[in-house]
Amino acid sequence: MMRIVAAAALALALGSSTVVTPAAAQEFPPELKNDMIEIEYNEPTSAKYQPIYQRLKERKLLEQLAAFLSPLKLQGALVLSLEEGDPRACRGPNSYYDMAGKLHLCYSWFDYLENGVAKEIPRQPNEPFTSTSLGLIPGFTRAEVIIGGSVGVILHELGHALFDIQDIPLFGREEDGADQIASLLMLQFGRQVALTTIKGFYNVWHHSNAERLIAQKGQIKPYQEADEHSLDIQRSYNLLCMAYGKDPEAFQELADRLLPRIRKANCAEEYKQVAHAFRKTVLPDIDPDLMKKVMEMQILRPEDFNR
Amino acid sequence: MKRTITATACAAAFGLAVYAAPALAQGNIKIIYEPPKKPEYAAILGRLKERKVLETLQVFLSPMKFPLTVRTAECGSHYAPYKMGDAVTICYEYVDLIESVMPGEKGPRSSDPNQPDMFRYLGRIGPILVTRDMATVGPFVQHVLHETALAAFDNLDAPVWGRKHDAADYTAAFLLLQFGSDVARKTIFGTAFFLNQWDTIIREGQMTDVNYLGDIRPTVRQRYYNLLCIAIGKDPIGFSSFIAIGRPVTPIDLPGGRIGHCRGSLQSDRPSPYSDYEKVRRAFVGQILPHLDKDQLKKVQSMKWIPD
Repeated sequence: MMRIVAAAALALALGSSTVVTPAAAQEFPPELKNDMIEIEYNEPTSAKYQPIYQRLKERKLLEQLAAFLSPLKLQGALVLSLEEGDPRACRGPNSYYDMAGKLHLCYSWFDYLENGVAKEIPRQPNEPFTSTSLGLIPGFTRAEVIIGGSVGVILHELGHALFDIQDIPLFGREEDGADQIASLLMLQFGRQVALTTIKGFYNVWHHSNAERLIAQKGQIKPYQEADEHSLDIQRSYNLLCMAYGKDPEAFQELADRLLPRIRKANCAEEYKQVAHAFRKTVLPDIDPDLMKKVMEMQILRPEDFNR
Repeated sequence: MKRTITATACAAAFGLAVYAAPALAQGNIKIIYEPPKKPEYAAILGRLKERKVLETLQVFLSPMKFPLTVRTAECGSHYAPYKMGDAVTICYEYVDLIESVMPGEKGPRSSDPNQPDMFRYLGRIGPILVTRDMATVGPFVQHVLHETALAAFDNLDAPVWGRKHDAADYTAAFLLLQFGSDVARKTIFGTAFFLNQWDTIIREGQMTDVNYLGDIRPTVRQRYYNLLCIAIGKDPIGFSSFIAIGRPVTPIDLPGGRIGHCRGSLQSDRPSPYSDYEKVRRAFVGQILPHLDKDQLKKVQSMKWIPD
């Protein structure tokens, strides 16, 4: 299984508050190049997105993502774009794959993570953390949320791109499939990165679910169940269940605290199902030699977690 | 008496096909009627056996080349999860659940004072009238196909992206649409009626229950929309009663945003290649169809499965 070390590195860069000079930026082996992949940094017009743009560009986010994807034998071109984007498409916040070979990573998403989800909301001493509590989950860190939320959305949209470009058979709902690709890949490069990204992405869905419940006075409306996405709370459970299914030891405490008991029993099977689908539909199109080189790339820096 | 009508209707709907083509039954589909403990389920079993429901399913599933066992049983709850290598199980509790929400004796109110009983024994899903037959046969067949899809995924080692039960719902709905518009209409409307009734009953208590929301299966309402998604994806005209045209959207309708994913543009005469319907169709053609006996499949598709 491919180790997404590069994904971890780029994600950590998103959480860094230090300026990364070109000299300090990651260098990538020249052979980690895929002629089917292009990158675009689109400078935002909104001043509030400038710091995010600068940080991601200096850190070479898209170069890292392109290097990470280099082992893929793509059947069509893929453009990776960082952008402020179309106001309707990138509003939300959002990022998306446009079914025409372009992955749009919107600044609005990263802004949402930094200034929404990853906020530590002051609480009363004995105030319980509930389904309508916003911000950081107790015991979760700002860095985890920024890293996990960034990696999560990048890999989720990448999932859509893969389903489309590689013409992967889809029996189930594609949005859940894209979540599964994201969570599967997050779990392939060691416990520390798995815990960081899974926790962070879980927190994103918890926060988003809380926002909706507050807006709807605690109710889940039928139109939400009609959406092509699962409910945010379901997405959080799906994610954690995958993690628990792969590594019950590492995720035991989180599963005991955050996953309904009824779900835990089946998590190993759920993970197996997704791993099997990946082996059958994605792995055959991965160059094993390039994959080894991707796995040799240097990744985590301790200071990246100090946010 | 209600149960007699409905279980019989359900069984009779299939019984026609058995009498027409018993020779189509294949040896790879085994059936078992398991005796229940509760007396009320014994009555259901008796009626299912009398009308040869599982024998009919044997014929219906006969194009499958891989071995499969289908059984009826008392499960302790309305659902017995399919396990690899195990039988596909239809729980008496599920049949009981279907019957418990089917159209009642009274039916929707008639606005014609001269015909107060006009809708007796009928139900409604949106503007569509649903008979007791439809409301029992539809969900029963959908459930069998859902469970059989799970078995097929396992037996054929098929790659399944997305939650397994959504995939099984999508596949079951796809199959319901492959046997002509008559079967499609009756089973889809009947299943939609059942799922809508079921969700309406349980909704208030369940939507704040983390065990319900955290279950591996989708919510009942999500299953309702899964069904409509594939139905409208293939035939937006035939199922246009679930599209809010010139009126406010209600929970009965599939919202426009989802329609776009399920079908693509409604102006096109074909589903978009990116639609959920097309994705399931391609997945089925690529992963399951090669494992079906095509000659047998044609025979089964040409049979009249549900009486008028």
